[in-house]
Amino acid sequence: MQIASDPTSAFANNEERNCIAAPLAVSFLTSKSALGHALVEEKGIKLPKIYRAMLPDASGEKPKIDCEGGAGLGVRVPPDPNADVHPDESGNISPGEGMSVAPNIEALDWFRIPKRLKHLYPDAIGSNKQVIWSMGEGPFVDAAVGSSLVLRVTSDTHGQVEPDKKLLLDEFQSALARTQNEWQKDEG
Amino acid sequence: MGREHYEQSKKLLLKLHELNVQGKDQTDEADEIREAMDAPARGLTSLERKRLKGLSADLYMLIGEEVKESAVLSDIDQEFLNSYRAKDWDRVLEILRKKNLCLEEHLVASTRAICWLEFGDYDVSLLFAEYAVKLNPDEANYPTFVKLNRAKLNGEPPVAQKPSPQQLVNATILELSLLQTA
Repeated sequence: MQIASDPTSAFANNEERNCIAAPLAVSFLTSKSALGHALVEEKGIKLPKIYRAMLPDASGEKPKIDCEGGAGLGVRVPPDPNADVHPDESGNISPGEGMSVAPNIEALDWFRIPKRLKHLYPDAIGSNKQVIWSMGEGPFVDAAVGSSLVLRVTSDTHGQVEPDKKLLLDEFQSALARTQNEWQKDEG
Repeated sequence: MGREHYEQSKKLLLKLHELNVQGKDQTDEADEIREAMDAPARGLTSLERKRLKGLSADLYMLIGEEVKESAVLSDIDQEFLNSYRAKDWDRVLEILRKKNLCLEEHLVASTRAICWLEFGDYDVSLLFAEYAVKLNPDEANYPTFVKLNRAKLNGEPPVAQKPSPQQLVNATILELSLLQTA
């Protein structure tokens, strides 16, 4: 898969692979997530702190926008056997499915924590190509995490970034992509 | 249902560590296994998840790359013995990961084998039993322990000379007693 040095190019690359993003989202990609930024700067609300292991983009400084392989900013869809979401007949995603995140590094799946961090996390057996990223500062509770996105906590160790209402798949992928600049490398 | 997700996750984890032993853990093949681990991992209970996370760390022992947890426990030897006597196998496994438990490696391996045997994970128990044999070929109980696990995995009736985990316990306790009096 081609690495997207320009976040917008990922959309073109992925269109053929059932990973469609709405062109209207592209303009948001180079700036902070609209809602996230507004919430933080105008209302002083802290977005929940969430962690996810993802491949870096070409710059190495931000997570790669990708909906394949579960190692990027995006969700996998059928026919991928590990699909994160299952669009309905109209192509909509409903709240209840989304992109997996964790409240801390220890809570990430052991096979997603890069093996090179084994000295810190002795169970780590993940790919060294991946990087652990985090975004937000607030507590790990159900809350908005970006435009059209909410965190739904499913357990002490797992949460999902879901659409806040029924959304078309490409709109949902775009909303996730818009959070790209919010993520920072954070490997403890 | 029941252990379906657990068994699947465990099998994939063992396969991933096997690739690690072969120096192939950073290959596309390994990434495919990681991919396949996603779905069953979602269906794990918190206890199953905890066990497999621990197993992932413990398996590094087999290639001499285990990283012990630096957080120390006061009176760790006593807690180990108490957990062992209470057959609190999950706790025993946790304590074995601590840096300040003074126990010979073959005893760590055999104790791990006992824990996994008690869980009914004979495939995992076998790995640690075999490693215990490798570390201490003179210990008479270990080869029998290996045979028991193989028999269990093959669905064979219990072997006549059932290895005595109790003897292993005694050996462990003796070891600790010696350390404490040293």
